[in-house]
Order: sequence, then C-alpha cells, then structure tokens
Amino acid sequence: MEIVFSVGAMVNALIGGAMMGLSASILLLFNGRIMGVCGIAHGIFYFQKDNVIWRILFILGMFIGGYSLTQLSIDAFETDLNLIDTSAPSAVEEVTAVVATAVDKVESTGSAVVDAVAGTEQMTIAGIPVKSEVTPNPEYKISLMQFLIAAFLVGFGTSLGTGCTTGHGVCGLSRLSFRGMAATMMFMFAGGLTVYLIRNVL
Amino acid sequence: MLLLISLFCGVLLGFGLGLAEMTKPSVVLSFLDITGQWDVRLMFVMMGGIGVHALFYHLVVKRRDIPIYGQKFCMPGKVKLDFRLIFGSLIFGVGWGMSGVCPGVTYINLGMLDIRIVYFIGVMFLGNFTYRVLNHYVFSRK
Repeated sequence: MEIVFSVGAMVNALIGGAMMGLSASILLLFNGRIMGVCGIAHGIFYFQKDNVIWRILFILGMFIGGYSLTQLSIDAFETDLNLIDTSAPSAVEEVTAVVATAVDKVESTGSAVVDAVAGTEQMTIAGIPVKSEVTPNPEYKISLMQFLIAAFLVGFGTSLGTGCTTGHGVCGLSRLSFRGMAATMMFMFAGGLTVYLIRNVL
Repeated sequence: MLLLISLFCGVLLGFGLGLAEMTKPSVVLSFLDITGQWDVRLMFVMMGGIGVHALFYHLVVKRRDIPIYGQKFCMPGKVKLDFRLIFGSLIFGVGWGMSGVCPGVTYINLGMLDIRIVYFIGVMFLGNFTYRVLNHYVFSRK
C-alpha cells in the first residue's frame, strides 16, 4: 500500500470542500433546502408546481462551474473518464505514443539518477510510503457498458437510499443525522469493497 | 431571488468539487482503493465541507425558524434507519466503486461537453424511474 499525498493537492481539496460546505450553507439558510444533488436532480421529474425551476438552475450552475474550470484551464477533469478508448488509434497517434513512452523512459531513468545522486529519501507516514501523485493503471479502466451499468446502480441506489455523497455525506454528517451517518458508512463500505474485488480478486 | 441563489450555489459547488479534483474518477477510485495507492484527498474535501457546514448549521441555521427567502426549512423527516436506506446506499456504493462517479460529480463533468456523461445521466434517471415504478407497484403493497 502507498499513500498519495501532496500539500498543494490537500490545500485545494480543503478549499474545494469548504466551497461545497458554503454552498450547502447558503442554500439552506436562504432557500431552506438541503444540498443533496440527487434529491435536487430527481425532484425535477416529480413536476411539482413552483418546485422545478430552482432545481434546474442548481444543476445548470454545476454545469457552469464545471465549464468555467475548463475555460480557466484548471486541471479538474479526466478526459477519458477512466474509460477504455474504443476508437482505434490512428497511425500518427501510435507513433506519437511510442515516442512518448521512449521519452518517458529516458526521463524516468534521468530522474532516478538525479534522486540517487541527491540521496533523496522516500517520505513515509507511519512506515507507509508516500508519493505525490496517483499513477493511473490502464488495467483499471472500464468499458462504456460497465460505466452505464454503474450509472443505473447509482440512479437506483440513491433513489432507494434517498441520498448520495453530498446529501448524506456532507449535509447529513454536518447535522449529525443518524441516517446520514449510516448511509455514508454503507456506501463507503460498498464502494471500497467493490474496488477491492475488482482490482484484487476478479 | 430563490432562483439566483440556487444558480449561485450550483456554481460554487461545481467549482469547488472541480478544484478539489473530485471530478476525476481515478482520484475517487484511489480513495476507495485503500490497499493500493490510497489518495486521501476525498477525506480532506469531506473535512472542509463538513467543517464549514456543521459550524454554519449549528450556529446560524438552527437558531432560525424560517429561511431568509423560503417559507420553511425542508428537512428530511425520517430519523430511523430502514432497510431501504441501507440497501439503497449499498447499491449506490457498488455503482460508485465501479465508475468512480457520483451524482454530484456527473453534472460538473457535463462541463467537459462529453456525450458519455449525458448517457450516464440518462441511465441514472432510468434508475430513478425504475425505483419509482417499483415503489408504486411493489414496495408499497403490503
């Protein structure tokens, strides 16, 4: 096991989290609504009078937030969505890929030499090695079909369980709601177990 | 005014989660993958979110009877656990662990203008409709 940790990323995570908390607080204080994204989204199709437009605008706002990140060229997205690319690579792309791997190899050997010379020690927390970035493993990518099966489970599960990460996780835990805490533990457990089974057993 | 605040909160949430890189499936999956490369960022996002919202909820919101613009606080009424909550959350967790995408993040990922996210949202709503049909015809019958 390894821990991925860098101060910059953690600061961004704390700031981003605080913005989420602020968003939840403002929505509750001014509009009296819990900021649970799936509740807000699924509620659109209940077509209750006077209760649809604010939901659509909230979702539109999230889209605008995401779109503005792309315009500010902040590295917030994974263009392949961790999915297997089904389109066949063209000859040009293949050549570029080969060159890129070769360059990577030279660079990594170079940096290894530099590290050895500088004598940099591997950072650890409680004996567990720490590194600054996740190295995505291509083996863990999923197909579009699996992605959509997951979408169904997410849609069905959040409806039956009346909430997701924002509603149960952030708002529920903040309010010390017993249901929120139980739900958060359940989906964290199921998520962790699913990842473990996919990556280590199947 | 209610509508403007909704829009603003949406933007704030979208920008914040994007900045924290929770929009990247592999980051979320790395958080769930405790035995592999464990990316602890999601925990920091939760800490930031809960820290701000918990203070605000207990110090400001709880002292008020009604919100500033709405008629009442729409709080979840249920307090007891039930099987629906537990099974629903477990099912959601499996989908989350497969894809690394939760509903909030999906709508932010729309900003990438990728058609596959639109499919994901469509199927998510299909899941919601399936639940509603089941709820109407099966679960409610005693």
